[in-house]
Amino acid sequence: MTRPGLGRLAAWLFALGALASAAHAAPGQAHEWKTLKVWCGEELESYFFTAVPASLEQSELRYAEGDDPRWARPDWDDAQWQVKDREYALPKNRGIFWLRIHVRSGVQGGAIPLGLFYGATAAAQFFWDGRLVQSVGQPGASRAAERAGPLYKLFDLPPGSPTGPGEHVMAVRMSTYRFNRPDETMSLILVNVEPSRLAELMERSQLMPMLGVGALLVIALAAGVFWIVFERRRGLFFFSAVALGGGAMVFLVNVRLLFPVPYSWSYSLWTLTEVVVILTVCALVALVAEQVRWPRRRWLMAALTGLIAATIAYSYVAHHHLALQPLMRMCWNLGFVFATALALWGVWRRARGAWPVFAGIAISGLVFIHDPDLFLWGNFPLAILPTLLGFMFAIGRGLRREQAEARETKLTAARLELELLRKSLQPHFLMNTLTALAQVIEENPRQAVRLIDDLADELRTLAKFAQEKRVPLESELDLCRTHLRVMSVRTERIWDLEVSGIDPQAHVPPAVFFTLIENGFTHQEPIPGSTRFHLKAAPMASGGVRYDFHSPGRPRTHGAHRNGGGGLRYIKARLNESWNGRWQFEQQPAPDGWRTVIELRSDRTANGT
Amino acid sequence: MRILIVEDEPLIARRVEQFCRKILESRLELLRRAESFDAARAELEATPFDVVLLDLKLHERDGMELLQLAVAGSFHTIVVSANHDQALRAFEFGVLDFVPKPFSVERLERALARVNAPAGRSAHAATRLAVRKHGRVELVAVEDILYVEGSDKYSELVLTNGRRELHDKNLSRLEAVLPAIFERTHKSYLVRMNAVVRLYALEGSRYELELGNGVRLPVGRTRYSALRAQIA
Repeated sequence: MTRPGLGRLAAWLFALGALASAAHAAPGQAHEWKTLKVWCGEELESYFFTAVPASLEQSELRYAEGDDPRWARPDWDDAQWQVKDREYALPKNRGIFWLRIHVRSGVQGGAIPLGLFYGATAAAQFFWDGRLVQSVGQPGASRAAERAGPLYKLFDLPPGSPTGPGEHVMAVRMSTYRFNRPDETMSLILVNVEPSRLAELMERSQLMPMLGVGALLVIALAAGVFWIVFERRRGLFFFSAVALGGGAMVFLVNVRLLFPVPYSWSYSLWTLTEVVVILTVCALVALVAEQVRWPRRRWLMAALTGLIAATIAYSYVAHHHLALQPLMRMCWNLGFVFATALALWGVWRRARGAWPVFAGIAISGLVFIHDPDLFLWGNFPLAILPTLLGFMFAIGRGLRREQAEARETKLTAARLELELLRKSLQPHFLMNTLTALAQVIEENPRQAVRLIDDLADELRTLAKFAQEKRVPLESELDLCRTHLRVMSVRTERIWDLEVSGIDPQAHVPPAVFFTLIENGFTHQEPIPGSTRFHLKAAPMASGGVRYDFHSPGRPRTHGAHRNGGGGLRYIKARLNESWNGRWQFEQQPAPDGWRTVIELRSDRTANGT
Repeated sequence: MRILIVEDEPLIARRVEQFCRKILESRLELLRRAESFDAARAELEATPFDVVLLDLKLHERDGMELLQLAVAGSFHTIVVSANHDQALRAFEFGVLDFVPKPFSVERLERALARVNAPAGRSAHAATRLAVRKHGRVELVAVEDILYVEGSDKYSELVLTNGRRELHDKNLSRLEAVLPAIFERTHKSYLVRMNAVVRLYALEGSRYELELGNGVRLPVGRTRYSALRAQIA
């Protein structure tokens, strides 16, 4: 016997519905005999009933409402009872009713059958040739009187039961007051192997799914803890949710085979399982969308949940009840179609980590296509493993890359801070200013005092700015004007800065306009009569601000330093640090000067929030 | 002394000018100021100067260009700069001195004193000499120079590969910026001493030295004894 075989058994039991007689007979007619082999189905038989003799036969299933202890007797005439076929569902919220089935064997010697496998959403008492052999719960004439038994029961006939050659009757006394779902489930199987051995094999068959459940829960837990403690990224959350949902799904599907789950829980269990499947599928699609950076995630999830809702509605309309197992397959179908399409889109767009994700989903999807039932019942943990590995690989690489970027950002911030401090202590500026100051002290002591004040002010502001990522434009303009006062003394020209349209409370990277002014002095020769810098600010239609800066003067070096000088590198690094890609910087010669345009696109983070 | 001050900041230029006047007093024949690269070049082409006091932003291209142009000239160059870290680089090109800003009158006086000192040498010897060639400036590595032959106005650099390059500085001004291994063996010759292999005393109290490549150069009568002691 193989493990997949047991998984199939469980799937088959669920799917088959009311397994009753395949034989067709009418009330009043003699029994119509059929071999037991057909009763159990070809596929199932190959796993469990290899030794079923051809002579073992069963009759059609006979049904009668009411309750009479004599109906258990083998010689009771049930010819007038209603004949039920396998399409029949057990009556809901009814009781007490009886089922009778005749079994005959021509084989001499040996106990046939050895045991019974029962799976039904009903309380039942089994009589073999008139003798009570097993109770599964307690049938009752009302909901209060009924006691639900386990959903599945495997038992052997008690010693001494007549199982020799000849005709036998199995009568089942039942009630279904706790059957609370619009679905049908009944399996009644005669087992021709020792029930204890079958039970052992069935328990053993649950080993791998339950190990898989454990593994999935550990993965979910690890990812969840990582998400809570270290990194609040949505990808990790969805990854944890997929692992948790998958583990829960396998557990819920298989738990009824491991523990004596009362039949009254059946509906709730399946509903819960379906909800878990829907959430897991949504988490999987959200995870792929997150990984490949799909832009319209809300629309995507709306489309997925809409299709799932349509599938549920179709299932109800088509089957008049929720056929949950087909529904689960449909949900996973949708999940894999969405996930594969997203991953392919990611590969096409060269999204980071799209390849391992696509590979993992493709492998899991192929396993699902190959055998959807097995995927849901037994193989899910193994089948979903490539998908999880693909994501672990992609997320791990993403984290490593982001850590490296974070380190780089820290280094950049430190370098920029140092750069600004260097600006304030720049020997060329400082020593020239001190030399000029020495001369001013001799020529005009009062002006010298003002120069010392301005110089101190400039140095203080630059030192303060060094630790900031963004500063109010007002402070930046104060720094620029202080610097212009110092340069006015040094160059004996009156320099000033004219501004228009600015919002003083707006934020800008520190010392950016200050650096543009510095660049103007370094790279441009003054033109007589043109000593005014201009800064114009204007809102952009797309949101954000455009700063237009004009620096007066004639280029000294024909723009040689304009594209790669230390000042521009500083400005661009600052913009990148503070506006992270949401900026534009352009420079070009302008009449009587040099024009710089800086665009800062608006964003929540751009405003320092 | 004829001085050109190249400085774009008027306050500093005035300070340098005041100090020069104070230091040189009547020895100051001419003092001009230039604010820009182009103005300085025009002044240098129009007037022969003894010394140029140059403010250099050596980290920029025009600063380097101006420096090379200056050191290739016949005059001495004294750099007056706020870029202290570039002093050694300036010396490599053959400037006579580097005066860091801010400066005192004493420091500028020491620098100007080197200009006319009889055996005045630069604080750091040059490693490259700039020479004007076909209207542009080329650099010659000092280690490639075998000897220098001079006239009143200019000098001729003779290189180890036999090539000859004209230099606008006279022999005395080159002696001031070249390393001490170059010695004045004759009023018209500056010779790399480690290239001398033999000395000859000829008839008529004439003396000659022979270089490793077989070239023989005259030796001044007053220098012979010292040279013989050195070579022995």
